[in-house]
Amino acid sequence: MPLTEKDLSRFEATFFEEAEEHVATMERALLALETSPDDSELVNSVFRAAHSIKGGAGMFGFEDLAGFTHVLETLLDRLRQGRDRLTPRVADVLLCSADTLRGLLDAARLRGPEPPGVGAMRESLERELDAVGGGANAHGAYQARDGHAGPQEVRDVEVTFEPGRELFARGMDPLLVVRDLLSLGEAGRVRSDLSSLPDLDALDPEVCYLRFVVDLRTAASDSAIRDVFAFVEDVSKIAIARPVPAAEGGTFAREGARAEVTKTVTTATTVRVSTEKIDKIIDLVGELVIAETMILSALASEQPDARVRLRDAAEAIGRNTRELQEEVMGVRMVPVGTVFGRFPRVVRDLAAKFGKAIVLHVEGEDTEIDRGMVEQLADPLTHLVRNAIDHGIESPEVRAELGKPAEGRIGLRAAHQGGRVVVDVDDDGAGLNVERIREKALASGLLDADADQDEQALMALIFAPGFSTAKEITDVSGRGVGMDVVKRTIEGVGGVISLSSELGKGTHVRLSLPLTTAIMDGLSVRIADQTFVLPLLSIVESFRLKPEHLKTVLGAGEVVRVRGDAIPLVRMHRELGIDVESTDPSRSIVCVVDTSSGRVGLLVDELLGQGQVVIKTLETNYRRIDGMMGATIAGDGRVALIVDPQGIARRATGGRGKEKEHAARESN
Amino acid sequence: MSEDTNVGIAERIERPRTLRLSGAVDVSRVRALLDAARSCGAGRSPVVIECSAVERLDAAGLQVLLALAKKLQSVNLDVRLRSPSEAVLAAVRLAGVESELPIDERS
Repeated sequence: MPLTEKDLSRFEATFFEEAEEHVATMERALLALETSPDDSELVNSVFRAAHSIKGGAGMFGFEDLAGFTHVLETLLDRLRQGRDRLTPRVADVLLCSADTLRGLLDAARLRGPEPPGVGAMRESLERELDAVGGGANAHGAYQARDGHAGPQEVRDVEVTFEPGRELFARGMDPLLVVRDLLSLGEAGRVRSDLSSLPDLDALDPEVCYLRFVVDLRTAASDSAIRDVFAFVEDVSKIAIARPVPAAEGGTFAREGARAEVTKTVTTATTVRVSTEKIDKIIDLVGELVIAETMILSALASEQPDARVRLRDAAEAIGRNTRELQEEVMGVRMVPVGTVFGRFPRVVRDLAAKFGKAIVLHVEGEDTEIDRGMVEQLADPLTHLVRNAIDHGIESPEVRAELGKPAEGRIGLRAAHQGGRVVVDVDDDGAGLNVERIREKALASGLLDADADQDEQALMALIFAPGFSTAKEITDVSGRGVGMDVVKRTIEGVGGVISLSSELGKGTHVRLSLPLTTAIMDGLSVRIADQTFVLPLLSIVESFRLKPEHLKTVLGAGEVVRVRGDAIPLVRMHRELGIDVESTDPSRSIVCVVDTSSGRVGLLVDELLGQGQVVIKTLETNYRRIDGMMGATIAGDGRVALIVDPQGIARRATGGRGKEKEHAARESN
Repeated sequence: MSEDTNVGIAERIERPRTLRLSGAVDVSRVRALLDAARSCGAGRSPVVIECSAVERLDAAGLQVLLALAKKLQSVNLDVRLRSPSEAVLAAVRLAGVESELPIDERS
């Protein structure tokens, strides 16, 4: 049976997924090889990974990728056979090759042009081969699997050619390139995109403003097509796409059906699941079908035990649904190691850049976390690790003067803790200089001169937008556009970020994250006649408010005293603009929630009960509401908004004026 | 710009505005072509490009003709090719701009 387009795209998706894993394996093994250069198994694993990528790429016709991996594989084979030794320079070249492979994989996935720098990287690999006596041609040219260049089957391709603006000035005629391209196939059709062509009066006749889109039916491989552009590719953009056939066979689908060629790296949209988990889910679905049959049978039955059978079936459905939910959520869970895996390389490269010696300790890579959360975690973690390298760890000379080991240490740990995932990033570097933070905050107006802030509050200022104490701005960090984004991103997924530091000893940042972004435990509360949900994990305690515990503090609004601590109080009905019949606080309940700026008391009318809620995004069906993280459907079918404690606290502290206004309205 | 080039590219402009081209219309002479095209484009009448004697037309030359066509089309005037040589026909087909630079059937 011939393969359909759907089959092919599914196999391709698997290839890309596996290839990404192979590149990650290569990178890990190459980093390990730097400390254990004689470990032959490591060399073998790098070779196997490259070999697998080459095989798959050749099979799917990604000739650029296969060709590049072929050269890489040849060099690795020499290492494997002990004919060459992994010198630091070779290690650098091989690690850069891994980056190039990622670029080529993205380009292949998006049917985009070959990313820049591939040619130079290939030359570096060939130079290394030359250096070991293999010669640049020792690897031979890459031959597609059937021994000919490219796939033999005739296919429709859409080639977009955007000549470089300086092409005319270089004496080149893009029409000749188009002619050569058309000679590769039949049924060619060219469209010129004149959208960039300026008005005749503004035209610079030696600048090329034209762009060509060529529809072609050809048996030529992508590589053969690219060869046509050999003399212009350094200054031009070339994209090869396979248009989706339109309803009438043989015609091309119009713009929009074509994969957009951008540099954006697509996030993986597939999840690999063990067959064991799938079998369990199938079993549970089977149980649900049985329960449904039981219900239908009981409903049709006039036997006296029908009601009992109905209740049994309902209980079975409840049990199976809960189990099914857990299993399905488990499918979304991935080890946090998928994001940790990038850091050995980040630390290695940046440490070299800054002339620092740093060892990275990673623990808890197997800790599972929701896939969506992993994607959200990558950028904040990268920023924290970069900060630690750039600002935290001192140079070996400074460390020697301070009596510290020359090699700095960065720790990256993950663990499950009380239904959350806790990720710690720490270092044994210089620590935060609280005095410098104070000076900087005073200078930038973030702090009043007479403000009496404790150390913790001062350190929290590093999360303020635009705040940086770096003496020099580097391309890694120091522009003050990072820690605020880190905080916002973490809080955006329901996480909490905390920080501790000791001058001269190091800094420790802790991210506490919910396990999943899709389902959570919530406490339903009533505010007037409306139901809201508070995330259960944020709630520290709840109690009925005694009027004598309520105080008003100048500049801080209302606070409630809890065992000697004054906690800001947010009257939820005021904050949300809901009219209530009574504002007597003694008839209300205070829910104390944890936020990254400290604890806050949320005043609600009644606690309705707790349970798991499915989070629906508001943006999909409505719009974002400040202070709300989403919505859920309550048992009675009504929509209940889910409160974002961080957001509501932020909104309340920023809106004291509004609160006063509302209070005034209530008192009238 | 040499006198020869000037004569070769735009011999004369006549009613209804005719842009007469000959020889190689390529990047080496494209500035002269642009001047002639601007001159034609400044009028309020359609333009006929007499191009039977064009031996070569490259993308730079074609681009100027397309810019002229675009300018005139914006005021509902058209540009037509009269007696195009094989070189002109080949360039127009290669670029897929037959509709932007149609052939004057009266030729």
